[in-house]
Parts: sequence; structure tokens; C-alpha cells
Amino acid sequence: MKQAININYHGRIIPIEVAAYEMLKNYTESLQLHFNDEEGKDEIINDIESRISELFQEQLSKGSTCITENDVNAIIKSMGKPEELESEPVIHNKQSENSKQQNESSTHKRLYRDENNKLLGGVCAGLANYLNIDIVVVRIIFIVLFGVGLIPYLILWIAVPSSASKEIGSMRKKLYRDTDEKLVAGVCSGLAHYFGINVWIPRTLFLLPILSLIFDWNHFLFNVSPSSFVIYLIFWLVMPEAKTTSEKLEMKGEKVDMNSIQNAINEEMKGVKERAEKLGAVAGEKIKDIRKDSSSALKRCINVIIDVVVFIVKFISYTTLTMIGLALVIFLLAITFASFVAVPFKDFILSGFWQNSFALGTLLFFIIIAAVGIIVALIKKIAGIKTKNKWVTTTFIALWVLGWISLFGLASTLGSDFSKVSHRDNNEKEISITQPMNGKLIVKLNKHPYFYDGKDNNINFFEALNLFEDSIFIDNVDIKVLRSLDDSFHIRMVSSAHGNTRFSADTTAAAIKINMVQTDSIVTIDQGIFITKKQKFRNQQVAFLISVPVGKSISLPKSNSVSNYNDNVWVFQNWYNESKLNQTFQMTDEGLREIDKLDRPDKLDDKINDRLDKLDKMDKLEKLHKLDSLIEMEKKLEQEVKKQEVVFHL
Amino acid sequence: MNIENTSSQMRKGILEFCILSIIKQGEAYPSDIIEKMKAANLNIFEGTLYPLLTRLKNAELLTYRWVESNSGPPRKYFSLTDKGNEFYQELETTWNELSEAVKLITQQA
Repeated sequence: MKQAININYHGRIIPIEVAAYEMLKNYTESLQLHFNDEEGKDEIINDIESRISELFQEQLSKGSTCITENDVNAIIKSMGKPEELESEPVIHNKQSENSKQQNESSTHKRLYRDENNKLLGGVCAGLANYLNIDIVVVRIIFIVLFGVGLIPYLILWIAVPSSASKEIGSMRKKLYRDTDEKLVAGVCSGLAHYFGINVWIPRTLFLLPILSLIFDWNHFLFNVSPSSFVIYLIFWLVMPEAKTTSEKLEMKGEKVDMNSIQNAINEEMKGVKERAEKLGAVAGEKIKDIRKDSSSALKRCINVIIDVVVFIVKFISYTTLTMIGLALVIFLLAITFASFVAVPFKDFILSGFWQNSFALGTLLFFIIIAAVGIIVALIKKIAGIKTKNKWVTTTFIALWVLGWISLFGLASTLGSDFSKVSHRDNNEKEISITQPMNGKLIVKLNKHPYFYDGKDNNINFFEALNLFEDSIFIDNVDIKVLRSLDDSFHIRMVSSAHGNTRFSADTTAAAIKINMVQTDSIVTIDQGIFITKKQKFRNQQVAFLISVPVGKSISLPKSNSVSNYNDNVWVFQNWYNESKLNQTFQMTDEGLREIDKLDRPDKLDDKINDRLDKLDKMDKLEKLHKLDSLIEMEKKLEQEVKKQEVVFHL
Repeated sequence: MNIENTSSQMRKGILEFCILSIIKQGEAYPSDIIEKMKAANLNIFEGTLYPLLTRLKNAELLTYRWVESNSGPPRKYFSLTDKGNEFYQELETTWNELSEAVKLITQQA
């Protein structure tokens, strides 16, 4: 079954198969191209078409219902294919051939660009040929002088004729926009056809400056960023779109004859099929339809505006998509890197074979596969590669599914390990303390040496890794202040942890090692918990419950977050690392009240303590000496003060 | 030397002469011309004929008039102009001379 249409062909209504019609149309186009330089071209074409229509009529009067491809083929055979036709009188031909021969004999060697051995434009190959030296040498010279060499290269590319133009009967290429292989408007693919290079070369050249705008590269070639956008627009407006088959052939520089037209049509048919499958193309087709109908200048203007709008929309969406893609890639790569960094820590979290393999699966198949996939897709899109390898795609998807399974496996097994909390009763113990003398309990935090102070925390990363070889340090210690039921201070320690059962959580909680030391009225508590690889991190927490009797006070390290539950419990968390300030609170009937907002900085305390420590260590004799010197110093100071006063009075 | 090329060159050279000759015998329609040439075993493509006719017409050697046909649009019927007649005469003389010369030479061979 073949589709047929009726056409009005030179005053006759001709029923014709669509394929035959396409063939006829292309034949006419190829003739038009053939007779392009002929005087009275329109008349010739008109005569031929008129004759064809007559032959159609003859065929139909023989009893055919419809003109078929065979009929058209027969007609083309009798009319002659363009390459079979002699467009110029023989005498002229002979003359031109003579002159050609003369030309060829008079020039021994000419500089041509070598289309057969080219990398870019064939300039180097042509030069190598002309100068009789190795092409590699010429290329190296050009590459070494890149930047300076680029300009002569471009000049030579444009100025030197291509070796392809030497071939008799070869078509001169024309610059068209290739809308079949377009990303934006087909400028780049058109340029690629014209210069016979891979399409990604002009694309990269256009994209690089735009990318450099984003990444702010300071390269002498690339600091023309916005102009590439403008150049593209200019090209777009200047270059005509290759609409007809013969124009497309001209664009690709193929000789226009029936075979190539047939090939081109077949290719186009494929293209149409593919296009029809694309859902998104519908809107574009509508715009094209509008474009086709229009011929007036106004409509053309509108078309240009539509083109520009479409371009801007496309440009923005492509840039956004690229940006999102790049961001995703960076994000995934960051995660990948982070996961590799986290490898030393995995032993503290993951337990058992399954969790480890799930974690590995997540890293390999979920994160890395996705990153690789996106990078590949981006490169393919930029390079305009449309190859689809079914197996690669399937493998990709399968591996990613595996990644998802690993992710869920990891999440669920880890989740179950954190699902149950330890019993409180089993992990609570009273720590006996001696009551402070002056009714004020001072609590201090024993910070981890490496987390000693926010300002001095410039430890080397790998140093820290070494430290974490067999244990990690987590900052999960709270202090909770309660109202004491009697008139003495009490401290109870509650440890907790998570696990897949409450009893395993209890075991983990019981294994928590934390120190509390009392000296006089000062209680020093470890700020964090050390967890070994065997113990694993299961959200171990320690809370010190300090009961303060009413009327007595407590001095606590300044905390970032204090929360109060029912005026009964005050929870202190998130200790300031950078300051060693203590806050003093008093327990009243109404609750815990801060009484000494301007607590002395601990640093001063520390200095005095340090000195006292040093004094303790000194011999008594030394102490006496020191005291003497101190007394002397004091005397001197007093004298100086007096002198100053005297000066002042005078 | 390519034999096909040479013989096609020879044929092309006499093409204009043959066409003018056919038209001289009476007003002719392009497909008539093709038919007559075919009958004389001189096969050419119609696609070659039309541009040739147009060129001859533009050189004011030919003229045409539209003739209504029973089927479809009117047809172009070509006839020689005075200038065309003169041109034909000249060609004929040249041709006769040439053919005589060729005959003599080939017979001697």
C-alpha cells in the first residue's frame, strides 16, 4: 500500500505516489541546480516540466491510475540525469579543456590544502606536501607556535584552495545552516560541513568563551566571551537554512546527481521518522509551518524574532541544564571524595559483612555510576554523539539499580542498628562526691587535646586520621541540672546508646568510658566519649545529672544551648569551644537563675593557677627569694607611683 | 583516448545542425524532434534538447508559437528565423565540405 496525492502539474491534475512525487521534486531541483548558470534557466525548466506533465498524461491515458516511482524513473531516464546532460556547447567545452590543459602544464606545483590527510583544515598536510617535508614536523611547528600559529593557520585555511576542488565535477561547497543536526540553530553543524570537520570543533570554539565567562579563565584567546554569542547570532542571521535536498547536498559538498539525491532522501526519511518520535519537536514543527507559509518581509521579521526568542529560551535552558548537570557532577564527585575520606571512619560505624558490602555498593554503583553517567551524557550532548549502545545503557541501569539496592540495604541495616535505645535503669549510676565547702560546685570540661580550643584547632588532617586509627571522639555529653531533693549535691551519670535490640544497646552503653574527677569543689568531666572500632558508633550519649540544692550555686561552662523542661531540668549542650568562660547559676525555689553574668574569664584563673602550681614546685628557699624580689618590686612600684603623684602635684 | 568520449563529442558537434535541419523541414514540437532523431538512430536526452532549443532561440536562430493541443496545455512549435536559415545554410556548407573531406580521407585509408 502506497500513499498517493493529486498534484496540479502544469495545468494537469496528476495522481502520483508520494515517493514518486518526492523523486520528481528532487529531480527538478537537481535540474534547476544544473542549469543555474544557464541563460533562460526558467524557460528550460518550464519546458522540461511541461514535457514531463505530457508524459504523465500519456501514461495515465494508457490506463494507469497513478504515477509510480517506476514511471518517474522511466521519465528521468529519457530526460537524462543532470550529470548526463551537456549544458554547454561542445565547442566551448573544447576551448575550456584546452585552456585547462595549458594551465596544468604551466604550473608544476601548487599549494593545496590536503583534504585526504587533514586533521583540521588540511593546511599542515598541504604545506608538508608542498615543501616535501614530514607532516608531523609542520604540525609540531604549528603547535609550538600555537596562538601565534593559529592566525596563519586560519588565513591559509581560507586562502588556500582545497585539493577537493581539483577533482573534476566536484561541487563547490556553500555555507548553509544544517537544521537536521542542530543543537541551537545549526550554525555549528553547517560550519562543520563547510570546513569538512567534526561538528564538535566549532561547537567547542563557541562554547569555550561562554564557559570561560563562567569559570573566569584569563586566557588571551578566551577573553572575548560575550562576542562568541554575538558571532553566533550573526552567523545565524547570515547563513541560510539548507531546506531542499540539493541545498543540503551543496552544504555537504556532494555532487548533485540522482544517486546522491536518493541517498540524501533516504537519510532524510530516517531523520523524519526520528523526529516524529520526538514529542518535544511538535512545537518546533508548528513554528516551522508558520515559517514556510510566510514570504512577506514583515513575516520574515517576525520569524527572526521568533528565532531569537527560541534561541534565547533554548540557550537559557541548555545553560541551565548544563549548570545543573555540572553541579550534580560536582556534588556527586564531592560525595565520592567525602566517602573515600570517610573510609577510615567506616569501621567505627559499619558492622558485619552486609553493612560493609552495602556501603561499598552504594559508593560504587549509586554515586560513582551516576557521576560517570552524567559526565558521559554531558560530553555526548556537547560532542553531538548520538550513538546508543544498548548493552552499555542496560549495564549502566542495572548497576545503578544495584546501587539503589545497596543504598536501601545500607539504610535499613544501619537503621535497624539504631532502632532500639538502651534501658535507662541499667545504665544509671550515682557518682559519690564530696560536698563543696562554700556551697558552690564548679564544673569544668576536660577537652580532648585535639579539640582543645577553637582557635588552636589547626591540626593536620592526616594527624587526626592517625589519631583515629583505633578510636574516635564524639562530643555527645550533656549536663542536666536538677533541683536536689535534700540539701546536698548529687551527680548521677546516665549513659545511653542505640542498637538493634535493647539489650545490645545496653551492652554498648555499658562500654562507654568517661571520666569524672573531683578536686575540692571542682568537678572535671570529659567533654566527649571515645569509641573504639569494636564498639562502633551507635549514638552513644552520656548525661550527667547534677542535683543542686536550693540556695546553693553551680558554675558551668558557657553553653551554646540551654533548654529548660518544666522548671525542673535544665539541659546544657553544645559547649563553646572558643571560650573558657564559666557561668554561675543559683538554684532558687523558682528555678535555676544565672547570678554572675560577669564571671571572671577562666584564662585569668588559669594563669594564677599556673603560677601557684609553679610556686608549689619551687623550693622553699626559692620561694623566699621570689617573695623578696616581689616585695622589692612592689616597693619600686610604690615609689614610682609616688613619683608620678609628685609630678602630678607639681 | 576514450572511444565513448570521442564518439559522443562527435555526435554533440552535429546536434545543433541536425536539430536545425529537422526544424527546417517544417514546424516541429520538441518530442517530434526527439522522435525523428531516434528514428535516425541519434539518441539524445530530452533534457539536453530543451536547453539547446532555448539557446538557439536566444541566439535568434529559432522562433516558436504556441499551438493548442487536444490534451492539456498548448505546445511550443519551433520554426527557423531568417537568421536561422542563413545559419543553417552556412552549417550545411561546412558539413558538406567536412563530410566530403572525411569521406576522401577514410576511403584512402
